[in-house]
Amino acid sequence: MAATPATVVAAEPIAPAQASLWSDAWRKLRRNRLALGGAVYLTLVVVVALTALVWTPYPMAEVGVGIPYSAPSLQHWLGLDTIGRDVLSRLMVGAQVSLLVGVGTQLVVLAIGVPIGLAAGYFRGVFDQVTTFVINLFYGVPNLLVALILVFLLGPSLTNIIVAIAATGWMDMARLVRGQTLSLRERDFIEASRAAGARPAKILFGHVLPNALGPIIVQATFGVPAAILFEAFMSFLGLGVPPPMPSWGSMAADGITAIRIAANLVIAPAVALSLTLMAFNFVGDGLRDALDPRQRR
Amino acid sequence: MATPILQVKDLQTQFTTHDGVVRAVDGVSFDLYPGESLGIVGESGSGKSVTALSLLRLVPNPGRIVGGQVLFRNDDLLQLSDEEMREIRGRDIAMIFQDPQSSLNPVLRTGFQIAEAMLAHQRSTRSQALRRAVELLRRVRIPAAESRAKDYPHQLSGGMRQRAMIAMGLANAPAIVVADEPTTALDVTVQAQILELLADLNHELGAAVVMITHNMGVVAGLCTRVLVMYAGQIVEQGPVEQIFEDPQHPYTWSLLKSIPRVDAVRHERLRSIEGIAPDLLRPPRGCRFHPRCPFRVEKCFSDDPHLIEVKPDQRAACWVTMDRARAEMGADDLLDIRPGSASGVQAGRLVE
Amino acid sequence: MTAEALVDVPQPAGASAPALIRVENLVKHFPAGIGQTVKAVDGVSFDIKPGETLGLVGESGCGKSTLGRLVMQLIPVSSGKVFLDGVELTRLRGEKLRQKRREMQIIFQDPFASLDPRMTVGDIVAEPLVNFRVMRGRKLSQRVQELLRIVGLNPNFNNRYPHEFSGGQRQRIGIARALALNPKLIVCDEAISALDVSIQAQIVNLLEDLQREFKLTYLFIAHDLSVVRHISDRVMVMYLGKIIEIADSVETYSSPKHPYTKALLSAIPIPNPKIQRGRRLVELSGEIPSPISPPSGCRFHTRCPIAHLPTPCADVEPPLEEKRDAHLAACHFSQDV
Repeated sequence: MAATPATVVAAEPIAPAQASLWSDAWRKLRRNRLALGGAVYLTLVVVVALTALVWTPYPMAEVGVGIPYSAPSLQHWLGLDTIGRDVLSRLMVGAQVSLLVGVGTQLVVLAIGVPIGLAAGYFRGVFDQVTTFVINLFYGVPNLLVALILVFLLGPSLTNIIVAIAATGWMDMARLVRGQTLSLRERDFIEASRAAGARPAKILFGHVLPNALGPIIVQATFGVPAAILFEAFMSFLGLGVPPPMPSWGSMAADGITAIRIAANLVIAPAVALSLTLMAFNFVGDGLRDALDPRQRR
Repeated sequence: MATPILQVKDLQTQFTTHDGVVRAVDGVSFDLYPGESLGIVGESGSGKSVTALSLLRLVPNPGRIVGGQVLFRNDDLLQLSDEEMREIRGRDIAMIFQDPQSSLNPVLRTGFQIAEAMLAHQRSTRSQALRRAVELLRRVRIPAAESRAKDYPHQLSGGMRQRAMIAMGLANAPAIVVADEPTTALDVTVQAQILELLADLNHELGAAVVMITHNMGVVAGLCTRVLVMYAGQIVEQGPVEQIFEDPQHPYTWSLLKSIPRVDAVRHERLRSIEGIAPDLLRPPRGCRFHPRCPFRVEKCFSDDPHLIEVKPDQRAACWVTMDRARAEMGADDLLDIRPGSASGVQAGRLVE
Repeated sequence: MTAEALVDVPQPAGASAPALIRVENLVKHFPAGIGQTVKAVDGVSFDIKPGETLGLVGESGCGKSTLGRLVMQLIPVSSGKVFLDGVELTRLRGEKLRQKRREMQIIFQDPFASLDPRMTVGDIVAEPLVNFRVMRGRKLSQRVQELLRIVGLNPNFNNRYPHEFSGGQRQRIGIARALALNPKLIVCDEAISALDVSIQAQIVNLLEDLQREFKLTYLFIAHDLSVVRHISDRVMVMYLGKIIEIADSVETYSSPKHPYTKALLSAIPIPNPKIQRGRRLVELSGEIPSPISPPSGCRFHTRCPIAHLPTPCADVEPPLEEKRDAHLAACHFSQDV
């Protein structure tokens, strides 16, 4: 250090260790009862779905384990369906489908939307113009229609449903990431990094992405219930996962014909679906509040 | 001396945060005399702005005034109802903020907003008020005031907007104008114009001005008396000439030494103040400046100094004062500005 | 401890030394709406000598920050040339330009915005060294700690996050990052404007110490003429995208040759009531015109107290020329200032 007498180590007292952005978010999330309840419920759903991989009360596809349309009983907690299959067992397996579709879709959406959004927002130019044009073009077309047409063309299967939903879903993600990138690229610390000789890849994945992560996580969390609802709807229309694989949507569709004599066939999957959607939305809301930098403290 | 128009006694304003209670203003007392121009100077976190906001009971959440009195014309402003306080604000005490952009409504014409401020407190017709608004704009030297009155705030430049804010503040001929860093966001040439305007208005209208600023030069040009704040407390107060000529608190002294002067003819190394402002969640024991003070003595670590008269009209809260620091510690020739460097008192350095 | 209160005036480098930075006729126009351009920097030429501090002052919108970024080649020029040590930066692209970044660094105004909030202080300071693969592992962390010590921070703070520090401490972190690659030039873009007065002095002193120790060259950009004069050997004044005066920092104050410089000086309040009350403000009429359509002739003529109108001030642009030894000004009537 330059040994001028007046030069001193000036910085001994440091502000008391404050919570970092993430631990601060976690603290706020924990205080949010709804989000916490949602998270607990979702954990339960995951456990049930995992359990269903190895064990269900009855084989989910076995016909006639009892009398069709049986009301809930001690043997069959949620009753039996139109051809005598155990509703609880099918509901458990249906949780797998819902989670797979929901999470799987968002993984695809992230994998496509994030890089495209980053590149469009950072490099601008022709690539940005083309992506923005495509996104705006599809904005006028209902997503459901696109997905329906795709499943029609590809044929119903779990993979195809995920592909069909992600085919339009990535656009919202790309739009969000592009916007985040556009505002972040003007920030001083990005310019500082460029001045420090960082290459574009380092800037994008080292600085832009970590700082955009909060909104991305929130958007993905809201995307999961949307995808689950999509799948349920398509299964209800008969375009979902092919039988005998149960889905909450197709279970409700099967049960609807018998709604007057065995309402539980509709109610059980409908309640499971609604609770799951609500739980994801509560968690998403909680995350949004927790990760919003304007609401620090 | 005349009777004060405003008396602040032991004002206490706190912010309750997740990490604890911040005593932003901690026992501030001062008098304001009619027609005078009082400067309150300090760095960020000194409590100068919160003091100003407390006078008008405009402290934002989660802040609360928890103690003291603000006496204005025999009323304690802190005891008034919200309705009575609204009457006082704008009519008797006007406030000018740092950022005129956010204090003016963007969708209303400038002249209309000034007229509205008048109609809120006076009985007159709309057209009278509008005419008077144009007069006020002329008074704050906005050129082409008639057409400017019809402009929306965003059509005005930063300096013009601040002038319009001042015009609005003057609308009801207030007895006191509180200006919170009114020129900080402006360029220096515009700042100089606004300061001249404020000085003229102070003389012409006889309103008392409370000038909140971090800029010692602004105080030197505009004010007759000054309060120096540090960490929520007043550390020194007195007539401007005296405080600048012969500061007695080491903080005031150091602050004046740390400013480069545009009229300097030789390159002198700046005498900075070492360290950072204290965290008001956990203010230091004893004198709040002792962790940064070159002249501290043992007593400064444990005992809180109170404002005492050190010269006629001049009060400082310091166990040592600069007279003694000069005589016994060679303050004038001091180059090493580390805490305790002049007094040699290092004990208990940087204790919590 | 008492010692001589005065520190030597930093020695300006010899006039004969070749320039470290040479800027020739630099122009930057930003598109602003249909068919319009903001003439942010409009034909600017100057040199920075090795080891000197060149101050750049002007009010908001005069183009000073844009000029700093052009010198650094953080934004492309519209036309004109920038040389660093004789190499024309404005012709370099991609990897070649990136390699040149080792020699010039920048310190930003807002210490809260210029540090990535998601990175630790250690990673922030190490970034330039990692980008250029200068060192790694133990050597890297030792160097980071050394840099933190140099700027007056506790080296053990390298695992902390920027938000745990005060403004002045953050600015020190930014300075440590700028020093990491041993650059020749550091552009200080309003580097102390956001700081409290007592902290400003700390940072100014630190910058002066570092300059002496590491033989740094500064382009010091600020709106506060008193700070700029204090730290600079020469001061350059900008108005509406043009340089209107360049002079030795003492002469800038004692005998300004441009009416704008004089007005700027008179507007800065001096923290001494006796002096300040006696000063006369050179009042400028009107406001700064838009850089989209700057005034004809001398750009200052619309506000100038000594302009001869309409001719020559409103129709002939005064060249930036030597009025005295190494004292340049762009005014037709500099003798009347």
